[in-house]
Amino acid sequence: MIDNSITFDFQEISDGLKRSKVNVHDNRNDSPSEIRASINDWRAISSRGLQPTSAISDLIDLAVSIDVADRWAKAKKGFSRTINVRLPVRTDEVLSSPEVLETLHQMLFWFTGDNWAFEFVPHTSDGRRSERQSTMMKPNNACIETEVALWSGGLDALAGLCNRAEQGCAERFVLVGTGAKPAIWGLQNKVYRSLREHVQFVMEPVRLQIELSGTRQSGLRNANLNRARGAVFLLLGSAYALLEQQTALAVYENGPGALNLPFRASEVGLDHSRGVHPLSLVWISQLVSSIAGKQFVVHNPFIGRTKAEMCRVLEKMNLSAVAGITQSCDRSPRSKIPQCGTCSSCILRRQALLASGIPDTSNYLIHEGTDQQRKKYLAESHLPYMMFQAHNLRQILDSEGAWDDLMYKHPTLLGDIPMRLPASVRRSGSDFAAELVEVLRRYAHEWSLAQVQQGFEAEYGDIFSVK
Amino acid sequence: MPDVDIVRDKVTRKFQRAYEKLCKGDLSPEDLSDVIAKALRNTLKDEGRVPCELIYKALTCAFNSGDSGKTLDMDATYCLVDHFASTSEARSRYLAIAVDALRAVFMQVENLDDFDAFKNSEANEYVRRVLDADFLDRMPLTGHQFNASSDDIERRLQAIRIRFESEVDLYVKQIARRETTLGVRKKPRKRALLTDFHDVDLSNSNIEDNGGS
Repeated sequence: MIDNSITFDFQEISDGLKRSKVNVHDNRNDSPSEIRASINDWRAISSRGLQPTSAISDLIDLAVSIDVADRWAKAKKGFSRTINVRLPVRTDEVLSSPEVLETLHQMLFWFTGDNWAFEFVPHTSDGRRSERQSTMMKPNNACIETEVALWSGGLDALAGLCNRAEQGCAERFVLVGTGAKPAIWGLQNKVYRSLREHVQFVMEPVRLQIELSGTRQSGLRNANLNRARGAVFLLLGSAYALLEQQTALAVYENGPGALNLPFRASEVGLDHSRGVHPLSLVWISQLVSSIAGKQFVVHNPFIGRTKAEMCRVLEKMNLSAVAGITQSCDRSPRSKIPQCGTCSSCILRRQALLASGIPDTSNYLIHEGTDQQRKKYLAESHLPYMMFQAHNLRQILDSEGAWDDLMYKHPTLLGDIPMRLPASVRRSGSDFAAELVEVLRRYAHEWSLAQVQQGFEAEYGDIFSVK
Repeated sequence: MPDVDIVRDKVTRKFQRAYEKLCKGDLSPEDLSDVIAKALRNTLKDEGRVPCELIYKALTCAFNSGDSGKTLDMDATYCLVDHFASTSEARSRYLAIAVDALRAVFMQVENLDDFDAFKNSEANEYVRRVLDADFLDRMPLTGHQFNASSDDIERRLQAIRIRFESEVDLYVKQIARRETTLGVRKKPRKRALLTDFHDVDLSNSNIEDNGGS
C-alpha cells in the first residue's frame, strides 16, 4: 500500500524559534524538510504570576503541533490528508493513553476531515521559560470571580463580552487571543483599548502567539484550508483557563454562526467551518478534561441567541462606535479596507447590525473599494446563498416536526447534538434542540425585516448584473 | 482565506453537459432525462465505489454488533461510521455524502429489528444526496445559461420527473443488490418493461398455479 501520509516530527516546542525544530517528511514524494515553530507564552503566563502545570504546558504544545501540521500538510485536491505527529510531552503516560489518542483522532477528524495519528514521546528538557522560573508575583486572579473567554476582535466577541458583563457573570474577564499576525493582534488590542475607554468592568487581554519560521525555505506549500484553527484556539484558551484555575472556557458566538449550516446541499463535509460548533466544544471539553484530569467545559452562552440579539446590548451600553472597529471578515483582503463585505461572516455581521438597528460604521470593499474590487467581490458574494438558506429555513422551521426535518437535512451536523451534549452543559437534549430550532427561526425571520431587505436590495440586484 | 465557508455555484464537471442541455431546452424530455441520468450514473460509478464500501461495511458492523430487538447504540454506531470514513481513500466530498446518508438511515432506525423496513434506503439516501449535491442544489442562484429562467428550469425538470425518477430508482435497486456502484446500468429503452419485472419480488405472489388448464 502506498504511504500517503505527512509526518511532523517536533523537537521540544520552546519559546524561541532557534530551539524549536520540526522535521517534516512528506511520504508521498519522500521529501524531508525542516521548519521551526515556537510559542511565546512567557509574557502571558509568568508576568501575571501564573505557573503552568505539566498538563497545561502539554496542552499548549498540542495546540501548536496541530496548528503547524494543519497549515503545512498540503492535501491532494479533494482528498483528505493522513497526518502523523510525533511530539515530546511532559505527561506522555496520559497523552499516550488509548482514551486520549482515540479522542484526538476522532476530534480532529470532526474538525478537519483528515486522518490524524499522534505519537507522544517523553520530554527531556526543563521546558520553556514559563515552566522553569517560579514566579515571585502574586497571581492577579486571587479571590476575583473570573471568566476566561476567547478574544478574536470580532463583533460576536465584543457583543458577547458586553452581554456577560452586563449580566454580572464575572468581575473580571480574561480575553485570550493568539494574535497570530501583527495585524490581528493590532485589531484585538484596538478593540480592547477602545472598549476600555467606555466601560468599567475589568478586562485583561492575553496573547499566546504561535511563531513560525523557515516555511519558505522548506519548500512546503501552505494548505488551502485550515479547518483545525478552531481547535487550536479552543485548546490554547482552555490551557489559559486552567492556568487561571478555572474549570470553564467561554466562547462568545451567536447560534446560527456557531452551527454554520450549509446554505445548500452542494456544500458538504468541511465546506463550512466547524470551529465553534456545539459538538466541537464537546470534543474539546472531553479532550481537555482527559488531559487535565478534571472536569473542564468549553461553553457558548449565546448558542440560543442570534447575532442581532447579541448586538442589542451595544446600543444600550452606548458602544455602537466600538462595534465599527471590530472585524468579521473571513477573506481578510490585502487592502487598506480590511473587510470585503461579501463573505458569509461579513454578510452575517451586516445583517445583524441592520436587524438590531445599530448604525454600521465599518468600511467594506464592496462599498468603498475600486470598481474592479467591487466587481470581484460582488461576483464572489455569499449574499444570494444566505438569502436562499433563510428562505428555506423559514419554510422548514415554520412547519411541524422542524427539528426532525433539520436533522434529516444535516444529519452529521445536528444528528448527534441531543445525545452528545453532556448533562453539565445542557438541561436535556430535546430542550437544546428546541432552543436551536427557535434561534434559527428567529434568525431566518430577521432576514424578512424591512430594514434588512432594504439594506441588501440594491446589492442583490448588482450581483445579478455582474454574474 | 484559511477558514472561509465554501459555496458551490457550478454543477460538477460530469453534470455540465446535462446542465447546458437543461438550460438550452433543445432536447425532448426523454432525451434530457437520459442525459442527466447518464451524468448521475457516471458520477456514481467513478466516485461511489469507496463511499459505498463504507456504507455497507458500517451497516454490517452496526447490525451485527447488537442482539435482535435491541436499540441501536447510536454513539457507537456514529463512531464506527467516522472510523471507516477517516480510514477510507476517496474524495472527501463523496465520503461526507456517504456519512450523511448513513446517519440519515440510522436516525430512522430505532430498533435493530426495524432495519428490514429501511431496506434500500441507504442506497436511496446516497444516490439522492449525490444528485442534490452535484447537480440540483448546485446550479447557480444568480442566473442560468442561455438566459433560461428559474421557471424554465423548473418546468423542464418537472417534465422529465417520472422517467428520471424511475431511472434513479433502478440505480438505487442495483446498488442495494450488489452493494457497489460499479456496473450501475441504465434501463434499456426498448426493454424497459421487461427490466422492471426483474425487480419485482414474486416469491410471495398470490398468483395461483392453475396447472396449465
